[in-house]
Amino acid sequence: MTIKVTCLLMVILLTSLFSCKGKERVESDTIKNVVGEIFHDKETDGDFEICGIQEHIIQYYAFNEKVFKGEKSALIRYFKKRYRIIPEANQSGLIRIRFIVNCRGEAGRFRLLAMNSDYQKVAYADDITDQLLSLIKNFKGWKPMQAGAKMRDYYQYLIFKIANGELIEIMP
Amino acid sequence: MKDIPKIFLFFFTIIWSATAQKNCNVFKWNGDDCKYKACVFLQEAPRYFQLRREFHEVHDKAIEICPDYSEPYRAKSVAYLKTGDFIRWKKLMDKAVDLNPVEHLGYRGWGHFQFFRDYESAISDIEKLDSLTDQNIGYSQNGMYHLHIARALCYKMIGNKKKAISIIEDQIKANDDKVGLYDHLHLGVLYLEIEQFEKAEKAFFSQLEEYDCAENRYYLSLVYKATKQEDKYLENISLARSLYKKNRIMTDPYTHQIDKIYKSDVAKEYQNSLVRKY
Repeated sequence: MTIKVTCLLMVILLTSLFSCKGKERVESDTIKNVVGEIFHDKETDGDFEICGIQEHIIQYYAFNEKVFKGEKSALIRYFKKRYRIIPEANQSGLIRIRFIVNCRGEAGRFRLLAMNSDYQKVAYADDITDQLLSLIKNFKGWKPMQAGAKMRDYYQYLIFKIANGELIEIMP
Repeated sequence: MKDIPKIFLFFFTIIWSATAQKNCNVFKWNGDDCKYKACVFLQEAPRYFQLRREFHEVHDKAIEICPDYSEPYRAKSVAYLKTGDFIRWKKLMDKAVDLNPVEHLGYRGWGHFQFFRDYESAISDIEKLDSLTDQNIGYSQNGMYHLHIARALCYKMIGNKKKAISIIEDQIKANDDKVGLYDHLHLGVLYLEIEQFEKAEKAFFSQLEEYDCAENRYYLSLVYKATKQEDKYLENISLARSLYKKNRIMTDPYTHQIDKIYKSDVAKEYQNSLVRKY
């Protein structure tokens, strides 16, 4: 009940706020994103296909049960159980893997970004990155997303916090 | 029902902070024509989705008008924050902070904590902000935490629980009419973790007044489990189960909070309580 009332109040508030803004929100029919787009790469993306067109892939920021089966605890268990610590690499920082989940709940177009503890781009030992990529590619817990009457493709990412080669946290 | 207006207020804070317009005249009154022009330019520009090329072109233009105006750097950084690009986010936020530390240290600190679990950087930002101003340092971007509470949670996560407790205690004491949605809950969990069960129970009782969520009942049940009060243990874990089913849980649209529990945690503890009872 609490949540429902809160949601209702939020909808009213959002409607009133944005209707009062008086500014036109400009949309475009073609791809205009400079941030966040992942395009198909024949060499790395295999036969993974999106269901719709590139322009309609949803930039979905939320991280909840709408996008994966079970709860985040299941996802954490999956990775922590399988990840092998690589202490000899002696590397710490964050590794982000961003990807697309298509309308059938299949994930593909994985892209990796890694930094050290000083937010500098670095390359991690293959034993770490290959492991994470392999685990995320084999994770079958993503859900397809329905928007309106249609099943849609959407973007998602995971960030892995690594300390001395050990996986210590998963975000978001 | 007390928690409905409070939750609403938090969401209002998020929306308000995301949509509130700056008063550009402040720059004019201070004789800062450069920032005034850039500020007005941004206010009059069309609004675009944060990831779009046009959004970044508009903000790049504002930077061109006034390279020392911090706002466009912060605005551009949000797209990278939401897509997990910590490197570009950090570069832009560092620039914003360099230009206007008091305005942006809190936001960068919260970003370090909420999105990247970089506790040391979050502590450093929030403490730096606190040293630069005599004013209230304010709340997290989502409105759910005072920045001192966020700082306390960072200390907890790097293992300094005593310091975390002390910060939360001080914050609640100084602002008992403005306690955050989960402040008592986090305090209770900290006391539970250091086995000060009476203080933990007291904090969880206070949390009942703010927002009686599944997490609060779950941790309260653990207090009774540890102190061998079997009936209360079963009663509270049952309540946690029931609240979880009603979705009265800790929520955040982007990330998962510290001390959040999951359905499987509650189910496991519920089974334990039944085994102990029967």
